[in-house]
Amino acid sequence: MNKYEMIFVLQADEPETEMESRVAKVQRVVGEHAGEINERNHWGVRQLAYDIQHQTRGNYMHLRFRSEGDAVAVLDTEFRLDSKVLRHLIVVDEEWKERNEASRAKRRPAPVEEQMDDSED
Amino acid sequence: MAKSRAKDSKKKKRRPAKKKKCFFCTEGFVVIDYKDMDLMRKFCTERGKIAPRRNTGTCPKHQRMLATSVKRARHLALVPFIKDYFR
Repeated sequence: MNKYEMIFVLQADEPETEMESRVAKVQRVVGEHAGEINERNHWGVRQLAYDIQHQTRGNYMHLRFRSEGDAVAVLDTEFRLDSKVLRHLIVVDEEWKERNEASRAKRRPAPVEEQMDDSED
Repeated sequence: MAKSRAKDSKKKKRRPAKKKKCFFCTEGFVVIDYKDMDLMRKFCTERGKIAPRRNTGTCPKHQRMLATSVKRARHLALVPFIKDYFR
């Protein structure tokens, strides 16, 4: 069981039902491999940094899920063959935010309140 | 005579540049998130290339992580491969 992170970009002019069907597809595949979707962030329609298939905007979805490793290959094939998906990326979830925040907390322990000095003056 | 001396003193004044500290080390980054677009842009040149270590002062370990992150962000069209410019 591993943690993964997935982002895919759908054509912006497609209705939201198309997006839901893609998410449902991920849910189905992940479910088949004894996993589940833990987090779902819909970034919405964004300007692309460069044109893809003559499109200037894309609908972004970010998912975090746990599953067996075999699911990744299946999902990759499914999304590669999907003509309405402009881009997709599945990587091991390195828990960027959590780990960075933990390391920062370790480096800088909570500041000690120094109100005593002020009151004396 | 005087001229040459002035030249010499000018030469001596030149000192090696102060070594820059790695931004990610000082800020306590363990991993670099490719989804952080502002960060990706900060470490790219105006043209969208990955900035060299000699300019940013990033340590080798973090520069390697950064390169991977920028490439991932480029793939998802979060940051450009090359920025268009006007002639």
